[in-house]
Parts: sequence; C-alpha cells; structure tokens
Amino acid sequence: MEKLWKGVIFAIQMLVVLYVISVLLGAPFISNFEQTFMFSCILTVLAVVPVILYLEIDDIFQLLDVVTQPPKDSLHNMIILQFEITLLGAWLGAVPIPLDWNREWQIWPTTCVLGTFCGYFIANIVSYGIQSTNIFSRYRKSHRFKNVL
Amino acid sequence: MVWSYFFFLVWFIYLIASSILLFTKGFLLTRDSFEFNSTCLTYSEIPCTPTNSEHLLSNGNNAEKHSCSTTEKLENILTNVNSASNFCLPARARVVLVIIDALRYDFTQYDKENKSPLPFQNRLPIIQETLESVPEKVRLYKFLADPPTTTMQRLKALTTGSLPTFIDAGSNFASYEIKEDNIIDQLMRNNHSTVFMGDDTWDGLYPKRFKRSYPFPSFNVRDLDTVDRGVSENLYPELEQNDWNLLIAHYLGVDHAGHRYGPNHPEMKRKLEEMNIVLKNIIHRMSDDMILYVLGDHGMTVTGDHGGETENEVSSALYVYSKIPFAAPQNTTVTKQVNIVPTLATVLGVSIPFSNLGSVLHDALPILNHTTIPQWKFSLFPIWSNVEQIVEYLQHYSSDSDIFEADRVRRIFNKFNILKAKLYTIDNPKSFEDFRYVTDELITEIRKMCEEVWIQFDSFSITRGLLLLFLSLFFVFIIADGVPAKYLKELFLSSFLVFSYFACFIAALCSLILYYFDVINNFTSSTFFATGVVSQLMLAMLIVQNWDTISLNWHSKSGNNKFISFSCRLVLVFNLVSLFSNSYIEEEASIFLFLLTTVSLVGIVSFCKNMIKEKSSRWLRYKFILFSIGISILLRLSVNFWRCREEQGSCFSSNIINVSKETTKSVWAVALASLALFTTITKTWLRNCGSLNDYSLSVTFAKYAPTVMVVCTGGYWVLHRTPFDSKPRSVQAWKVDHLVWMVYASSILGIVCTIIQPLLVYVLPRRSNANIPNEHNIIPHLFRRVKGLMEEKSESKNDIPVIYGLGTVFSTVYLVIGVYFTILLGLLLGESGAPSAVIMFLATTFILIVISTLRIEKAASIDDLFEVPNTSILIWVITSHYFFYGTGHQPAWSNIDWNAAFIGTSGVFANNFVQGTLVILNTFCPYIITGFFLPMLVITPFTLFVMTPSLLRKNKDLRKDSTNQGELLLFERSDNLLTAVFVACCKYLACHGIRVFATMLAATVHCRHLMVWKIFAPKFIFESVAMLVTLISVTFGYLVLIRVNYQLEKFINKLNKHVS
Repeated sequence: MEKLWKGVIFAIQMLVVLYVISVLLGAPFISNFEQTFMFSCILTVLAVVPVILYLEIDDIFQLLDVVTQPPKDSLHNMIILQFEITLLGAWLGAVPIPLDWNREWQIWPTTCVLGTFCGYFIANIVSYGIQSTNIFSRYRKSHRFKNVL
Repeated sequence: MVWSYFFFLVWFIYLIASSILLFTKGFLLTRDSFEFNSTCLTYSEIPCTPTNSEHLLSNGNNAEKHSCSTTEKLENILTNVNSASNFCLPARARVVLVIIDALRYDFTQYDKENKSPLPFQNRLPIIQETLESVPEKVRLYKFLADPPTTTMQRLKALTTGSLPTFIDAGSNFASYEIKEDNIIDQLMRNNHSTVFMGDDTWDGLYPKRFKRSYPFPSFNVRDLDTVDRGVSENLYPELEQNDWNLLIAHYLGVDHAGHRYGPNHPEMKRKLEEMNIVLKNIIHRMSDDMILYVLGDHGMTVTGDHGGETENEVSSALYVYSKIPFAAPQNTTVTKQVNIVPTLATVLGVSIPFSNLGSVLHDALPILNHTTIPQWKFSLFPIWSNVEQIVEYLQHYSSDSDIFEADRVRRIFNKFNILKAKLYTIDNPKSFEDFRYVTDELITEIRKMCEEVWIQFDSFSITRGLLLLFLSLFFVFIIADGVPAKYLKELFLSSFLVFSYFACFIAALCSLILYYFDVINNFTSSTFFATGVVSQLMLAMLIVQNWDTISLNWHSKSGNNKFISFSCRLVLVFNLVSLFSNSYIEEEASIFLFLLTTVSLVGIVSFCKNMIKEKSSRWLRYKFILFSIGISILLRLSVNFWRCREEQGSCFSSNIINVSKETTKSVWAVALASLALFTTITKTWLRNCGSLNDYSLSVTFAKYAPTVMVVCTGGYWVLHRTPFDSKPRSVQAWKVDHLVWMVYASSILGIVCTIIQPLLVYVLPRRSNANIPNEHNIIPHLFRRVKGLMEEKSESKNDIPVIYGLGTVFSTVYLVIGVYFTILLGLLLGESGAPSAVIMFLATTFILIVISTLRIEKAASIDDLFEVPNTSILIWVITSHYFFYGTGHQPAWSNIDWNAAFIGTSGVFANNFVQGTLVILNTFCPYIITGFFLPMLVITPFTLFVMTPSLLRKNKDLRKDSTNQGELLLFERSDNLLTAVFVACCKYLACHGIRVFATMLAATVHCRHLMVWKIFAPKFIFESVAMLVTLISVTFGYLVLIRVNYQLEKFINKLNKHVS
C-alpha cells in the first residue's frame, strides 16, 4: 500500500516535471493550460506509469539512473526502451507544427500527442521484436553450442 | 607561432568572406538602367501645317511658324496619333503632388457607423466629405506599391515609373542621384519648373533640379513634427505663386509616428488629424488651374514599420481633387503605383519617362479645355503615346540583352502592330473604351514579363561562391578536427602558411595582369575566384600530406560518447534542413528554443550517466541540474522579447505587447533593475576573483564604470520617456544626449583600457603580508594557493609575493569587456529590450559553466581539457543564433530596429557611419558576444577549478595535476592554450559557415519561389552579415587572448626577477 502511494505521488511529480519541460521547450505557459496539462497527462500515463509499475521507481534521480544505466535484464530493457521511444515520439511530434499547411490539426498539442502514441506503438513493436530475436538468438546460440559439444 | 595561427585565421576569414561576396554578386543582381530620355515636340514647337510625322520630326524646329488657331493645331496633332509619343499635348493643369509617407489605404476610409474609432480610423474626414459633396471632382483609389516598400525605392518608382530592384533596398539612407529618365528631368527639359518641400531624400535623388526646394532632415524617426511644420509653412505661400508647374510636398509625420509608436497610438491620431487640416487648406486655396494628387508612397504594418510586401505594406491610397472636370468617370478603384508617372506626364504636357512601366490613369486626367474636339480623342492620344513608349523601352531592353524570351517579345510586338493598325478605326467613345481596355492588357503583360525577368541570377558566380565556400569550410574543418593538437603546432611551424600566402598573392597578381590586358572584365570576382582556387589546392595538399595522422586520430576518437554526438548531429542536420523551409525560417525562434532546451536537457541526462559510475555527492548533481534548468528558464524568459515577423499573422493577436511601441513605467523599472542586478552580480564575481583590488586604470574602470553606465542609461530613459512638450525647458535634446555619450565613452574607454592593461591582478606588498586590504571581502582561500604556486618558483619562503586575481587572469579580461559591451547593448536595445541583453549574458555564462562541468567530469587528464568537443561548439553556435531572436530581432527588413541609430546622435554626425554601426551592434549583438567569448570555452574549466573547487573533489585524476593553480595552468601551457583556442575558432567559424552555406543553397534552390524575396533572400543577407560580424568578433577575441598571454609572460618574468 505504501508503495502504491509512493508510486502515485511520483506519477504526480512527473506530471509536473513534464509540464514544466514542455513549457520550457516552448509550450504556452498559462494560456493553453488545459491542452498542455492533458499532453503531460498522456505522456505520464504512457511513458512513466509502466516504469513505476514494473521497475518500482519512485524518485526522479532513480529514474535518471535507471534510464542511463545499461539494462539489467530483458524486462528492464523493454520498459526503458518504451520510455525512451515514447518521449522521442513526443519530441518529434513538434516537427510539423511550424509548417504552413494550415491544417486544423497543426496546433499544439495535437501533433505531439499523436507523436506520443506513435512512439508508444512503435516502442511496443520494437521491444517485442527485440525480445523475440533475443530468444531466437539465444536459442540459436544454445543450439550451436550443442553442435560444438 | 602565435602569429601563424592568427594569419591562418585571417586567411580562412578571407576565404569565407570572398566566397560569400562572390555568391552575392551573382544572386543580388541589379536591373540595367538606361540613360536614354524620351523626347517629344511640345505644343509650342509644333507647326500648324498638316504634315506627316516623319517630315515633322526631321525639321520640326525649323518649320516655318504659321499662326493658326488652337483648334486647328490640336486637330493637326491628333491626326498624328499613330506616332503619339513624338508629340506632347499642352499641359492640362498645374499639379500639386502631396505625398503623405506611409498613408495606408484604410486611413483614408471613413466609417460613420464606427462610434469609437481607433487612432488611425476616421481621421481624414475631408476625403469623405468631398467624395459626397463634389464626387465629379474627386477620385479615390487603392494604390498598390511594388515591393520593396522603402521610401527611396518608392520615390524612384514614383518619378521614373520603373520597378526598383532588391539591391537598392540597402542603400535607402544614402540615396543616390537618379540617372534614369524621370518626370522631374522631363519637366526641366521642357522649361517647366518644380518646387519641392519635405523629406530631404528628394534632394539626394534630384540635386539642383528644383526651382525652389525646402528640404528637411528625414532621418530622425523620433522627430514627428519638424518636416511637417516646415512643409506646411512653405506650402501655403507657394500655392499663391504662379511660376511653377509641379509642386511636391512630402509629409513625413505619419510614417515617423508609425515607426515610433505604431498606428494604434494617440500620436498617430494627432498626425492624421493634422494631415486632414492640411488637405482642407490646400483644397481651399487651390486656384482654378490646379489639380491635387494626394498619395502615400507605401503603407505600414500593424507595428507601423514597412519594407516588405504584405498587403498592409503595399496598399496605400491615391486621392485626386481637381478644379477642372475629369475626362472620364471613374471606372477602377485599384491602381498600381507606377501609373502615376505617365498620368503626371500627361497632365503636365511632357513626354513619358523612357523606362516607365505604368499606364495612364485616364479617369484621373482632367479635360483639355476645348470644346469642339471630343474629349476621348485627347485621352486616346496619351494612351497610345504610353503604349509606344513602353514598347520602345522593351525593344531597347531586349536588343541589349537576351533575358527576355524571344517568342514572347515577338508576340508582344505583333499585338502592338495589330493595335496600331486599328488606331484609325476608332471613331466613337465606345470603340475607344474597347481599345483602351486592350492597351491596358498589353501594358500589364509587358510589365509582368519585366517583373519576372528582373530577378535574373548569374549562375556562374553563384555556383563558384557555393563551391568555394563549401570546400574551404570542409578542408579547414578536416584540418582542425583531424590533426591532433601537437601535430598542428608542428604544421604551423613549417613554411606552409608563408607558401600559401605567397600563392594567393601570385594568383591575385595574375588576375590583375589579366585584367590589365583586358582578358577578364571583372577584377574583384576573378581575384576572389583565383585566390580561392589556389587556397583550396593548398589546403587539399596539406590534408593529403597529413592524411595518415588525420585518419588515425579519427579512428581513435570514434566510439566514445555515442549518445551525445548522435543527438548533436541530429540537431545540426535538423538545423540545416530547416533553412530550406520558409515556414521553418519564419518560426526559427521557437525552433532554436526547442533545440537549445533539448540540448541542455540531454546534458542533464548525460551528466547523470557519468555520475552514476561513482556514487558521488548528490549536492553536486543538484547543482548541475539547477544550472541546466536555469539555462532553460532563462531561455524561456527571453521568449517575452521575441518580435513577430509580418508573415506570422497569428503571432500579433497572441501578444499585444509587441504591437504597441510605447513602454510603460514597469518595463522601464524592470529594465533598470535587471541592468543593476547584472552589474552587482558581475562585480561580486570579480571581487571574489580578487580582481578588483589594484588601483590601476583598468581596474578602477572595471570597478566604477559599469555603475556609472547603468545610472546614465537609466537617466537617459527617464528623460527620453517624458513627452516632447512637457519636458522641462532646461533639458534640451543635446543635454539628454550627453548621458548617452557618457555611456559610449566609458564603454569604449573601458574596453581600450582593459586591452592596454589586461592583467587585473594585485600584488600584495610584501610587508603587509598578513594584512588583507579589504577585510570585509571574503578573499577565498585559493589565493593562498596562488601563493603556493609561487613557492615552487622561488625557494625562499619569506619572499612569496601574494597576488590577487592571478587564478582567473584570463577569464576576467573577457568578463570585464563583456560587461561593458552588455551594458552598452542594454542602452541600444532600449527599455523593452535591455533585460534580454542581461538574459543573454547570463545564459551564455551558464552554458559555459555547464559545458565546462561536463568536460571536467569526462576529462582523464589536464590535456583532455584543452580539447573542446564539437558538441560544445555546436551548442555555442546555436546559442548565438537563438539570441538573435532572443534579443528581439527577426531576419526581415521591417524588423530592423532603426531606433538604435538615434540614441545619442541627434543631428550631430554628418555621415551615417555611426548610425550604421549602432544599428549593426543592436541587430547582431549576440554574434559579437558569443564570438568574442569563444576562447572562454577553453578557459572556463580552469576558472571553475579556482572558483568552485568542490567540483573537483570527485575527479581524483585531475586533482593530482595541481589544479588549484587555476588559469595559471593555461599560461604554463600557453602553446596548448593558443592551439586549442585556434582549433575552437576554426570549428566555430566552420559551423557558422555551414549555416551560411545552407542559406545560400536554399536561396539558390528557391530562386523562383514565391517567398524568395520575402524570406530566403533576407535570411541569406542577415545570415551572411552575421557571419561577417562573427568573423570580426572571433578575431578580436583571439587577439585579446594573445595580448593577455603576452602581458602575463612579461608580468611573471618581472616577478621572478624581483623575487630572485
């Protein structure tokens, strides 16, 4: 129960941090509060919550440590990859905003939200792919060993 | 060796500058202008007898003078309509031409429904009144100017009828005499006279052409009334006079009010209401043979500026009031600006200027006072004359060059001939109308063709410029990045550089000889090209010779730090690619903010990555993160100082602050507070460095000058803010300027002093060793360590000199000069921009600190610290570009802040050199700061050793190397220092250069793009001027480094001698 609380509090912390980061990267500070807030909510849910759930992290520094360290095991690797690619997707989502195509979806934060979803989606596929190749290669390796032996 | 680095830099700079110039020559071409004049036989010269036109032309003047009635003579002329351009009808009226600068079309509209009009609405009711009461005497048109909408270009167009090209835009404030055929010269040639009053740009364009002229200085944008008052004083008496045919009155107040306050300001209301009274008075006083043309030369944007080609800037108004009835009812409401030229020529009875491209505005022509001949004949004559003139011009132009498509030209001539054949079949007003319509189409077609073609590029120069720039950047980058520092020293000790200079000299000589013997016809560009090619060969040879070291070095370097170098490469590529998109250029401010913040966040992550290896103090990490977040917050704060481009429509509605130019008291207070805070912080830092203890001139300056400068700046702003009339009598304009001169003088003196005496150190007298002069100052313990350094040198323990400020001897010089410059900048940027200068300075220092911390973390030994990683250079480049926007600039003509030119220069300086410098300082300030601070990238880690020793507690490897000496270490390895800074300079310039290259390429690729003159070309010009500024400031920074090093050597030698 205590862990749950800690996790929730950390999620809220991350929500605030992500909000601040998106403002620092150029999102409007107050005027589009609702949109920016929703965006950071989505980002938190997709990127941060899995990390909290699976890796039991409840501190920003711990998170930074985990992200930058070489992964310990495959689950770890998967979750971190997912975290990173989701954030990258959100970051790349800003690319079409300045273009002058005059589409109604070209506004903050629609593209970034889409980017987040895309990132999450791709991350899942990629991590699945890595997992399967890992298993495959392990299988191959063990196989080869058998042959040698 | 020191100087060979310097000379290599100079060589590199020459290569960059020459290839940019070469490109510019090809890209920004001018239109050919002919000095031909069109001529015609005036009414009095034409004889009475009906003869065919050839005969008439050959002996027009000698023809015997019959006396005949006007009717006969006129009929006689009208029969020669097929060669109409050879004859001039008599003048129809005397013309009063009132130019109200920046009279936007909507200023002239009157809306009765509007109960609470804005300051620029409903302020010219006279136009509406006359439109209602005497519609037959009045015409109102929307008057479309061609870009660029700067006053001089518009005046040229308004008198010659041609389309001034882009290159003229730059010479707006040093106007040159017009040599092309124009309406003023036509009048002079026909012994008509012109009277002029108003903007003195006219006097520059047409010296000695006016019978009487009353020019008033136009340059001071702050002064809303001098010109207008002067014009009005002279206008009314002149209206009484009878001896002129054309009277030009150019009012500037509205334009100045726009520049100074924007249209949405009570001053604009006042100026427009003044104009209303002026118009009323003129209409009232006009005699019966006069016609009044009131026109604006261009419009203004929402902020009151102009120069571009948006709807607001190009649309002005033309209002005609005639005492004589018009020849035709009004049938258009929109007309091109050049159309005024043939119209005026017709009204005044002179021939249409040779290079005119406008068509006669026939519904704004007054009738020729005659009863028996139908009026349409009098209209047909000038219209045909107009067509003939344009076709002749086209013929001349196309025979002189082959830029027009032959097919198109032939088609136009065919059309012309068909029309000519039709000419005599016109016998009633109806057919005349049809004919007029067709001729209008023909003229429009010709004008369109000319417009398309006059942006012709010289692909020869363009490709060479691009190629040479790219090659020199590429080669120099390979040398700077590939050759390791210790080899680089050897390389520069060899005779390579002398050879290269010699080769360049020979190449230049060759092109001179070839030029002398007329083999080549353009000396400068062929010299640029020849020296460029030779230099590329030399550089390539150098690379080939050292290829093994380069490849080895690269091989050993590869593999470390993938994450950061990958993200930085991504950022660079993104950055370059975005220069090819017009919308990205428009939004570049946000993009740089985005990238820079991303980089600083990436910095946090990578720092944490390093820290994890050893579980070190959390405090350090907090500190680092705090700094990085601090950078991001400073960057985000500077968003408030962004300006909007005219193209960013949505931007204006979102922040209204940018639109109004008037500053409030709170803005002033914030500006002053930020400057004060800035001086306090820097002074505290310097004091902690121990640099402010001596009593030498430069130290005294560094102690007191910044405060004095801030106080003067604040005082200037206060006095400047008070409105003109409510100012106390004792405070005259020049007295206000004294404060500004104080700031200029103290910053210049301060910088010069610091260069002359660059060592801000204090040698404690030996007797008072224990006695520290400023007891309340916390002298950090590190100066004891400096003592320790001396201990090694001098064996005896008694003779240790204690020197304050030696640990930060290099950085102090840069800091002090930077402080002077930043405060000066605060003044130039004005109240609303001053905090941004402070933010820029703080953010750059924060970035320096963060970069250096990262580098210290990673360094294995002291030697590693001498190598500036490419990522740091890239961050530095992005910083400089970001703060171009962060200090409220945009790469667009209308966004240049001309106000800076008038700070403290009211009418004192005859030439525009000082004003130009001030504007350049204002616009390109971030490039100056970052270019000058570039050596700090190498120096700062050593400064941090002294100022925050806690940083090193962790890095054991470095501690071994006696890092407590701080920047003295740099001096001990001054060879390494100079090499490292040299390499950093080369890379920095290469990185800037590659951006210039990208803008050049973008401009070339998009040279037929819709936006090329609006976005890509200005971007290229701004970027290349920024490059030039960067070149100069980097050289200056390097020279200062050499100077400090030299002085320090002298100082230490003296000290050693003294001690031993």
